[in-house]
Amino acid sequence: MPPLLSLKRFLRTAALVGCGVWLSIAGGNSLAATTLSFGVVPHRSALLTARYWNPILAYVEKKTGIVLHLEVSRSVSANATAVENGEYDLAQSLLIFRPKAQRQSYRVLVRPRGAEIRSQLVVLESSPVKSLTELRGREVGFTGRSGMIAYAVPMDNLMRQEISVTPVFAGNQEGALGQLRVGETLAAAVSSQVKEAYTEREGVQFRVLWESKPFHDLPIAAHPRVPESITRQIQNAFAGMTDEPEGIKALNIAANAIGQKPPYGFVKSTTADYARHADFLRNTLVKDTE
Amino acid sequence: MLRPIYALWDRFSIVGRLLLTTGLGLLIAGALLLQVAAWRDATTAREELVRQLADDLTMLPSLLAEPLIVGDYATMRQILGSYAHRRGIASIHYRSKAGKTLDARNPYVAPTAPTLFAVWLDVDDLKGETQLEVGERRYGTLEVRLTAQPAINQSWEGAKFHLLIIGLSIGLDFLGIFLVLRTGLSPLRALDAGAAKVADGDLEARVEISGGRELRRTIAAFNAMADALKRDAEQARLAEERLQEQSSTLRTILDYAPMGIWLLNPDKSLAFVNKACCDAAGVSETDFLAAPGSALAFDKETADRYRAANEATLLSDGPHIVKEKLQFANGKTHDLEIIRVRLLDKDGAPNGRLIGLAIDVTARRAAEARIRLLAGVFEHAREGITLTDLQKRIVDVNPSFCKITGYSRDEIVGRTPKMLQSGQHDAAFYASMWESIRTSGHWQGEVWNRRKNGTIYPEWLSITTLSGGESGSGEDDHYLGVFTDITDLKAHQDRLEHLAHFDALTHLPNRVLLADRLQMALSQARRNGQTLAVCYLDLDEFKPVNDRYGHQFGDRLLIEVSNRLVQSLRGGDTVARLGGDEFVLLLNDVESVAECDLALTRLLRNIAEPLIIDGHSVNVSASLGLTLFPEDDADADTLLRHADQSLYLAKEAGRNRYHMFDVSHDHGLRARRESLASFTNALISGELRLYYQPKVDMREGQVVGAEALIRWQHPERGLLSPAQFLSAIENTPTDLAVGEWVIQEALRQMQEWRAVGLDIPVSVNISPYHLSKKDFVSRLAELLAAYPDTPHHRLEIEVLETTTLEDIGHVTSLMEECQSFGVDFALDDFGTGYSSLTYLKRLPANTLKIDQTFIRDMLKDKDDLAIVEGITGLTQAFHRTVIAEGVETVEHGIMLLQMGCDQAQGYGIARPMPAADFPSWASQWQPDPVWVLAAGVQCAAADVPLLMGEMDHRRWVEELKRHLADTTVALPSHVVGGHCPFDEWLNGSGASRHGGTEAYQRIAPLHLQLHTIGTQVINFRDAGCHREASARIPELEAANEAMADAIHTLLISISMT
Repeated sequence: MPPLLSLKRFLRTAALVGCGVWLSIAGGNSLAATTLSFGVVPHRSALLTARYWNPILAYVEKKTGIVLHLEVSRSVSANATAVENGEYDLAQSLLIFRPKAQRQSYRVLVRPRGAEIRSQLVVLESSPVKSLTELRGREVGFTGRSGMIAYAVPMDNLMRQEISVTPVFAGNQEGALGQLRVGETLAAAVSSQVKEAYTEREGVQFRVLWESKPFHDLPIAAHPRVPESITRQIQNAFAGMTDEPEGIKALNIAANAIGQKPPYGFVKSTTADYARHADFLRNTLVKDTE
Repeated sequence: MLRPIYALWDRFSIVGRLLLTTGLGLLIAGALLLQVAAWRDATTAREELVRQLADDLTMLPSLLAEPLIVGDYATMRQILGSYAHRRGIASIHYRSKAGKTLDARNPYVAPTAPTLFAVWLDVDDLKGETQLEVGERRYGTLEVRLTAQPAINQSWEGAKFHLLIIGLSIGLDFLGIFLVLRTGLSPLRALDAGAAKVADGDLEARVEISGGRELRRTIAAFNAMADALKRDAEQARLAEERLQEQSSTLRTILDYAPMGIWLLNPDKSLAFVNKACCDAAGVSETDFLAAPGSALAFDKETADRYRAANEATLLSDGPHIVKEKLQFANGKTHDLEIIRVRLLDKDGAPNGRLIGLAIDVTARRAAEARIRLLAGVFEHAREGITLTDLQKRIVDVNPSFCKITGYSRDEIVGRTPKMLQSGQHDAAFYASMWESIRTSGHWQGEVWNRRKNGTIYPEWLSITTLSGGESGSGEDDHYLGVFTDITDLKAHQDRLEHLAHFDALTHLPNRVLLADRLQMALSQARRNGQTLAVCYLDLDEFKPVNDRYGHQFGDRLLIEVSNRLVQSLRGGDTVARLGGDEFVLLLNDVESVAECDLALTRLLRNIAEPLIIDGHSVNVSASLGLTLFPEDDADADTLLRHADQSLYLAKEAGRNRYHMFDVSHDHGLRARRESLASFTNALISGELRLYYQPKVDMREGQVVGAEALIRWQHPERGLLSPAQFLSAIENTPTDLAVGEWVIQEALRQMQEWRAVGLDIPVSVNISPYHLSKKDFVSRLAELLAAYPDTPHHRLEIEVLETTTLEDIGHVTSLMEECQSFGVDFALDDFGTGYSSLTYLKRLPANTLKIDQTFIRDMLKDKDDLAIVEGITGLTQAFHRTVIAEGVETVEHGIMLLQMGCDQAQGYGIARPMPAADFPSWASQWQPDPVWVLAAGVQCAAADVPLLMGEMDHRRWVEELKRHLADTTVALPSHVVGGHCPFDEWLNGSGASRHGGTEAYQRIAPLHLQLHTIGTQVINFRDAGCHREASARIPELEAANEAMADAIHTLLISISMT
């Protein structure tokens, strides 16, 4: 079905672009009627994901008149597939840098404000496990085979140290932490950001056995089919949220929904900022990513 | 306006009024309760609907949030569909912001309440809606409609239940009123009925106390009054009954008094006569009272005498007594004693009345006369008579008693008969006697008593209990003993007894008494576990003495011998004379045969001592036969017969000796006779069978013949082998019959086998007795003629080697005659008969059968091996065929093949089998592969272990494999640390004979390797490493094959040299 999907997507994009051109010619400020799909990586449950993103997207919509429809996949792998197929007009994902997805040529518009994130392998603080070698042959929780920070980076590290573990996939990072918490796995691979939010909200402490070099957090990128004029409006709206009371209010609501710590908001970014990601995905030993 | 209602009310009974008022009250109360309950139900239903709507509008958005965000409408539809089934929900409607809708409806709830009830209840359906928002984003609108129908239905069910309760309450109320009134009025009715019964004279009538308090008191008073009436009536009745009873008692006394009683009025008329008077006169009381004169039929003189007596009585203070003879109505005259007494009034003055008593003394006078007569009998009886009381104290004795016992009456009266006891009888005798008297009232028997002068005498005593004497009660009160002195009678009886049981000449017990004594002695021996010797003795050469000196001399001799016999034996033993010079001795409690021997030897020696009679000295001796019981567990007659048989043998053995009966010999003879009869019957009944044991050529791998062996299919003991029955028929006609049956059956079987293509020689065994018969050859020819299709040379007769040696001339000629018409012979059990070479040369038997005892032991016993080797060599020298019997193992076959004995039979090849099984066995038989190998090589006996070595180790490896697969299979005996028999050859004769050859030098290390691997395999198994143990098996098999190859090489090398 990929060819058919591609055709449909092409037609849809063509219609969108055509519509945009027609609206531009008409000279009216009718872009408010434009609707773009906004795909996000489901690190959390769909409800939490919606509670986080809907206030932000409502702000952008209000600011630009462009309707951003939140697309939440059932799993990370479904999200990855959608990214690879270019189904989202806008995508919040690192998977756009994977070789499989690079043909879609998503362009980075903004990235989250604040520190970079790191991939981490963690155990419960009460666990007797002190080193990675103790994980040899044991169960380790991952989000899925498509997560870069939560799967590819930590698994690449384990493989390079020749530590063979039994991966247990939980669908999303908080799911992996939940499995670790109930003892179904001995360790979990997560991003430092998700882990800290989880600790803040649930009060569970973890011990970090290993962490990666810092990576920029998930960028928001646009598919090339979205006209640049529109992408620019959107980029400005996201980057300017912290400059306006309504934007700050929306960010606070979103942060409260998931227990996110400041700083909030987004800064403008480019694809070049994510060269490390692309480089990793090109050279990683992990070949079974989805 | 209220008048008609009052009129109607007046017409109602109390019950009706009560029912109407209470019914109305309950109806109104119930209606009010129903109204309140319905109002409460309606309020609750309305509140419940509002609450449920609020809950649904809260809960549904939560349930829908996740699929709503993801856009999973299928899940949303499922959630709505499931939720809509909840009670009270009519429908749910979702409309997205984009206009997409989802609907879910609850199945229709049918109304059960009437429409009027639903309207009256006034509960309406409800609806509400809410917006679905997540993160301040509105996704759509949700509308929920609730229906009031379930609540209305439920309220209607409650109302129906209320109505039912109201109806039930009214019904129970009516029932209660009815029952209370009914039970309240019933005691009055009962009181009325009770009073009527008492009035009718039923003083038992009472009324049960019940009802109200006043009623209960009234009823109690009534019952008390009835009780008082009843008590008075009862007392009056009892007084009357007592009077009647006293009157009746007095009348009965007078009627049954043993005397006539009458009462005379002052006017001399009879006031009363009793039954005795009426019976004596033979008239009724009425007739007697009416006409006493005619009833008594007195003559004038008697009547005057009576009148005078009455007058005299009336004038005297005391009784007036006279004696009269009167004839009664029965015609008999009775002696009467008549007593008359006048009666006094309450002041003690004569009132003119008198009472008369007439006592019949006829019987008393007759008894007095009888006693006088009996006293005469007592005095003059010849038998002694003793009368004692119940304490056995002598009351009286007659003169004969005093005469017999010597005691006077005064000496004996007051004592007990114990003073007469002689001491001849024990306490049990007297106890038995008195027990008999107690139970039957009588005893009689012989008693030995002591006279006053001390002599003891027998008497025949009869004791009887007497009753009705002094006490008059009818119970026993005396014992009467009557006895006769039987001293003379006893003496006569003893003389007759002696004549009946003792020999008149020697006074020894005769045959009659001997029989009795023998029975007693047997009983005693059996009871006490003792041994009894029964001896039969006869004088040797008595007749010549009798003839020479005469019968009187002979009688004197017999008396003397009798005396010596008695003196030679113990007191408890018996010597009896049967007649002539025959005596029987019974020796009780013989301790041992040695003791018996000593006693009898002494006895015979005593008899043999010279006797001097009438100046003549004679010498006689005796012979004696004896048998010992219970070793000889026979009856008395048989024991005497056995002793007599032994006496005969003693005489046969030279006289003046004794011979003891041989029980086991006798049993053996008897058993053999029974066994012979049984077997003869089996032959007739067709219970004999022939089984066939194959004979094979081990080198050629062929079946070369069969030996027919007889079996007895016993109906109870099963299949019997010849050893269990053949000895019984030896040297009997049955022996011949069986031999002929065997030949005939074998010929018949050969014919049957030939018909199915099995043509082999069959050998039969013929007994020496059968062979010795002169007509053996002619009978054989007749039997062969009956089967013309069977070639004669196919029949072979097996003869024991020992038989041929007994009469070699006869056997040789018999063999030659039989061979003339084709039948051949085999010498069976060869090697056991000490045949000389000359005999062997003369005997024309074609086949020698080596006895199985040599074959069985030849592998262990070098002498047996040498014998087998020698016999085989002889047969080759004399050009005879040899066959080995008793081949039980493969090793036996190998050894025989190496010695040149190719033919064999035995359990190692096949057991004897029914004829029907033989053809199938013969077609399938294959020689053991080792025999094939052994047949192909020629080696000395010392190298036979080499041949066996290969076979042993193949078997050893197989056993080891089986053991690994199943540990219940025994481990090969020398698998671990054990001694391998092959080592003996390897290190012994093998090393010395072939140690220098290359083939031999290969064998030893391979043998060591084989056992080393075997040991490792078992060690692995013991350690639980089954996989490793199994993994070594191929290696073990390879080592075994390599050693077998080396053995073959060495064998070929040995054969070539």
